[in-house]
Amino acid sequence: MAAQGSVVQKEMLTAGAHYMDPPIVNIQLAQDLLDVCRSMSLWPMTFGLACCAIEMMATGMARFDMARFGAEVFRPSPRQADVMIVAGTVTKKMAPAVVRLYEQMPGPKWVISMGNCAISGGPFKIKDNYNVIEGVDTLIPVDVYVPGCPPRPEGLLEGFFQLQRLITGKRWWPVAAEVKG
Amino acid sequence: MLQLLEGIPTQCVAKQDKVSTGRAWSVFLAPAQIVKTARKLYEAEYSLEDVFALDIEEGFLVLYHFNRWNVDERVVLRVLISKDNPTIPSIASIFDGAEWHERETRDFHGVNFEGNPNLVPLLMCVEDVDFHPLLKTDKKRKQIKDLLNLGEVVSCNKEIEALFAEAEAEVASDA
Ligand code: SF4
Repeated sequence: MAAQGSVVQKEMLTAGAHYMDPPIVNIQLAQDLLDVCRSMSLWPMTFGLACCAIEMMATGMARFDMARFGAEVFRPSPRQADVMIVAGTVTKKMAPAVVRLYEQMPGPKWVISMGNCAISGGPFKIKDNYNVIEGVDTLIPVDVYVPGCPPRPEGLLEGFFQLQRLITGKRWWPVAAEVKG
Repeated sequence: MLQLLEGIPTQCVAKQDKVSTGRAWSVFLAPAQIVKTARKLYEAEYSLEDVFALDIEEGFLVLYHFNRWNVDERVVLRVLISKDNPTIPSIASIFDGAEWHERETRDFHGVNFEGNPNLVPLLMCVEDVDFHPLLKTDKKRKQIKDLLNLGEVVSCNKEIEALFAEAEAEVASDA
């Protein structure tokens, strides 16, 4: 099958085309401060599409404990969330819902594309693919890609660190030591 | 099972090898008999496992699996319908759960289940209402006798027997 065209026009959905009020206090220092606050209290949306979502749940649970990095409040409503983790396979049927959820999130907002499915169609990117969107970035703008099938929870955490770096310009957490052996 | 089918004009009833097929009985039916048979099975406390179709050279073979928890007797009802008019009565009025199975089968093969209350795409998106991804190409399509085994026949009419005829001849010549 030919590559699937996106369901909604792309221009409508790019980060730039979204309308956001100018900040009330437009001082760089204030903005930087706010950015740090934002990056340390990312609220992801409770939203899983396939097997990758299991790994996302594991990331939120006690063992990997995403709360340590300020991102544990999974919100059940897009209106309260500022990060969308697209965890899993986006089918053609699901695509309009994904786009709508993204549009319902208040800005500033970010998207993490988790897993090969969401990045490129992953295992479904085959000749006879008829129902899977090959890359959620054909629908909505994506900030961080976390590859893997599924990515380990550490991978998703690393994705969050990357997002925090995007927002604040700085990596906040130590880099894990390389394990020999 | 056999008492259950009394009074229903079946096309072919056969015992199946449980080890290789996982079922106890295979029953070929005409499309018009499916609702009646489903009702009988419902009254005998069978539950519906699944409904799906096979795209084969002879047409579409629509399969219904039924099972029962207290007796180890898995039954498959097989209905062969033609490609020109792939229509079959719906059993959603007897087994509510069949509604979604039938919708899925419609999505994938384009089989029209007459009487299904809500025959809109279930898994496919609405734009693809006329696109049936599991239809095979001529090259890949197989004959029924290459896919299925008739099993130990109890009663069978000529037509169904003819479908399997060659395969059995081959098996005989192997022996
Ligand atoms: S990338 Fe792999 S694990 Fe993740 S949703 Fe796709 S198939 Fe599942």
